[in-house]
Amino acid sequence: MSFKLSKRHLKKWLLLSCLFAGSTPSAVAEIIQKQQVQQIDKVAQSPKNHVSFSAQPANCIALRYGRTCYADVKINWSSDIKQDYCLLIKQEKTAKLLQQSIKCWKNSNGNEIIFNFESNKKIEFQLMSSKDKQVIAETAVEVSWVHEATPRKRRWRIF
Amino acid sequence: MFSKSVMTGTYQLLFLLVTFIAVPAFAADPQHENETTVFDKTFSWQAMGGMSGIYQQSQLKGVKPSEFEDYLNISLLLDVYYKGFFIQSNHRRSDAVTLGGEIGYELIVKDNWELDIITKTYVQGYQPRELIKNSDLAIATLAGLQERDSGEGLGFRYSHFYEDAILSVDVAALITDGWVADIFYSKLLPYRNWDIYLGVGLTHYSAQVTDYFVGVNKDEVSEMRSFYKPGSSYKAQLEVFARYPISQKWSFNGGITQSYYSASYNNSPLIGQQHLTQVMLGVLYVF
Repeated sequence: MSFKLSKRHLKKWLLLSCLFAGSTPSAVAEIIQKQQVQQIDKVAQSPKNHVSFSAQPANCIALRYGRTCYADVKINWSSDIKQDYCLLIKQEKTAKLLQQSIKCWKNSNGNEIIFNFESNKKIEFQLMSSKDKQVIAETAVEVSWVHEATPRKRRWRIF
Repeated sequence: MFSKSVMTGTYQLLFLLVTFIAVPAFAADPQHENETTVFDKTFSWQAMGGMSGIYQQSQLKGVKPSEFEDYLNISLLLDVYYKGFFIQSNHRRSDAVTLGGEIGYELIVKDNWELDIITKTYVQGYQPRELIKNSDLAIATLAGLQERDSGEGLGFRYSHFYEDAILSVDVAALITDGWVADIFYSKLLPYRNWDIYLGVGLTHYSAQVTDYFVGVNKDEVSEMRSFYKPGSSYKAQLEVFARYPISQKWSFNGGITQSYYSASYNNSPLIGQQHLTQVMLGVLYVF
């Protein structure tokens, strides 16, 4: 007799172990996140549903390190299957994974919105199927800057 | 007889001695409070290349920008910081010894203020012969006038930091004799990805400084140039400067500065333009 531990079992076992062994919530969130990403791959690879999901520009550039970056980000998605979808922002607050809904569409297979990006760090977006609450695609807008942080405060004067 | 270049060399040597030997002895390695958290590096540097179009009037009577290079400014800028020592470039450079930048050492660093020892060019020099040579028209007020060296100064800077604003006060002795006191307040107004700086400044030039740069001594008196010993003078400045990120390496920079000089400065027979307007538009590449 042999015991075969499948990937799915291994993940569940790991999750339960973390929960019962008093592991940090961030580790749990990470596992949930990994599961979601794998689910995304699954859906995206399915021959029945091809999903495209993009945010442009993918990089918001600020002048100085730590400065809030502003951009009008065009978020575009399309799916082979017409159903209800929601666009979410993935947030990690106090080591908990939260999702903030931006917009939902009913019986749609594609849409586009302009999102007013305003952040000093990367924002990740998720496209979720409202029916089964599954994240089916992810994209992100990174934040970068022209000038690195310096130990010295700088005075700008031209003439 | 000492030539001016020998004097400049001596001055530079003196500055190096003061900064690298004497200052650390009593300054005892100032610590940035933010070095241990975000700024955990004690050494930092940034090299930048700037290219800009500039429009600036010359104050000197008869001197007008004529060639293409008078409107173009290409510069290599370097900001270096190491354990209190700093080289900080200004966006626009001059041909002076510090290349338009500021070299200094932080004597005291506190949360909202600091005191530095600093050297920079406070007054731009000029070479009458070169100006006449490059001009299409004869400049009678400059003919036979002696060369004016750049006013490189060594002094102290007190900076007070407010939220999104800096007030700095420089008091410096110049190599050309005399002293300068300069107060500059710069307020940052961030608007989306733009950084907009509003600046206001007031500079006092001692009698020796004003006499040297715009005075006419008895050996320089001519038909077009009467004897002039102005005494001390003032300059007031208003500046608007804006920066915008184009990409991770490039940024746009533009600004306008309006300068007003006191009567003692403006009444010089060498001065033609009483108030100066300077405009700069360009790009900056960060290496």
